[in-house]
Amino acid sequence: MAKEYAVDFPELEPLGDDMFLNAERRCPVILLLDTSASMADNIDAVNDGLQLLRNDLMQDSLASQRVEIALMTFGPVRLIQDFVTVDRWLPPRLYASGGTPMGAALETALQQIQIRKRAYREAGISYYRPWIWLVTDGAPTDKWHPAAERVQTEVLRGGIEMFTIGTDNADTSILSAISRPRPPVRLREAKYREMFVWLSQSLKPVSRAEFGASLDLPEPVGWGDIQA
Amino acid sequence: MSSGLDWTFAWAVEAGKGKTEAQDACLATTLPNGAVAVAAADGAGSTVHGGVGARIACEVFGRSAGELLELATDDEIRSRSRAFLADTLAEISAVAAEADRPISDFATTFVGVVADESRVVTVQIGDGAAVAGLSDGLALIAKPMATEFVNVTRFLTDKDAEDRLVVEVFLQAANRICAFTDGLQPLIVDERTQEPHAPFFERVFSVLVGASEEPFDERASAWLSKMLSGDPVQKRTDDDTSIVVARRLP
Repeated sequence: MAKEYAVDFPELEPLGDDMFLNAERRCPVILLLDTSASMADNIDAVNDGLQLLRNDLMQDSLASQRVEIALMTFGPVRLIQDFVTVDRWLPPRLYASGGTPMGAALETALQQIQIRKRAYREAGISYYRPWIWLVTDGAPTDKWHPAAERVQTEVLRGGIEMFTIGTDNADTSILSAISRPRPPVRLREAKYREMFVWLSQSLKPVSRAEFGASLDLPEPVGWGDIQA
Repeated sequence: MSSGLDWTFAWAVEAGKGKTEAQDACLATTLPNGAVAVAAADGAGSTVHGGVGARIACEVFGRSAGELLELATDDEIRSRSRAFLADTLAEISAVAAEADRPISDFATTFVGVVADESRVVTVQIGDGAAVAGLSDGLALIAKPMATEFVNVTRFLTDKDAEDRLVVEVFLQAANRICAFTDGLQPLIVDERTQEPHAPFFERVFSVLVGASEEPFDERASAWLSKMLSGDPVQKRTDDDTSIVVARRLP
């Protein structure tokens, strides 16, 4: 039986947008992609994968406004796209050429993250722990040890989430030294498209949920094998 | 209206998009001598049993919060708050042992407020916040715990939880209290200025008109549920959302 109320109850509608603030939050992700000459056979798959990443993230209105992508390639090291929210990101076509200066690429990525975090702070925007997503098909052609140490310092202080993905020709021990304790993932049969879709699916909840101290990501089913 | 009630309250918990069950929990209860306790907790999304931890924390606080107001000094209140933390952990440990799981599986944030006619005490760990309506306006009485990154917070089950526990005592009479978890927090508290968003709180407090014969106002709770599941909230967050609101009746 419905209860009787002695007073008029305030109705829900209209519940104005002005009741709420718009939370500005950003989840910065650097894609650090090996575009050395040896990538020539797979560069089309990488280009397709980037489009899939964008299109998939665009399906999620919160993720498209919160995930910020910066696209860097090596070699040589180039910042193709500085951080931009997905709804304003158009991935340009990438070409394969040159060596594999992975150390310089990592150094530049760390610098870009520092610059971006400063901009967030100055603008009063809250941000998630930045991700670096490194994909390579070979071994570094420059001095990578100092960069790996700097990455490890950031990882250990909880400053970044470092991911490394390598093809069959990649040096797993080097990738492991960069990303530990997270193991590198070996990419199966040039499944770049599947990898980027997985990245998108993993970023969607990260841009909104509370994860505490550690990320709990799904297994890279269908495109990669964790190299323990 | 003369219902004889000192306080009326309502709460609502809504699961985030794509989730079948929320890991948040809320509670409000009246206490002797015209006091009230409210609590909100956010079970860690990365755990299986965070929601159980959240519920236990709220229940333990509901049972023990009244004791905080019986204490004379702030030191005693802080000491009793640490005992609340220990009691909560003991209950969580028992449930965890039963389930053969580590207590980190029950990780939860917590914000609790207890108020009588002259004091307001807040007990907090991690995200979530609380706002009080005082005679001269709104005040953020429990601030979200500051961390560099949005997706990092502190939990009641952390090893250093006792050091992280924030206890504040305000010598004020609050006539309206609202506690809420992280999902709603950036929508209703300005992250830059730490100001409560008045249009939200005024509207939400206005729903508690004292229409119920019980302290728990079912109809106001239904309103809060509809508010949380409504488009203005859902387009701004995909996280679990929860809110508990209490109002002192004249």
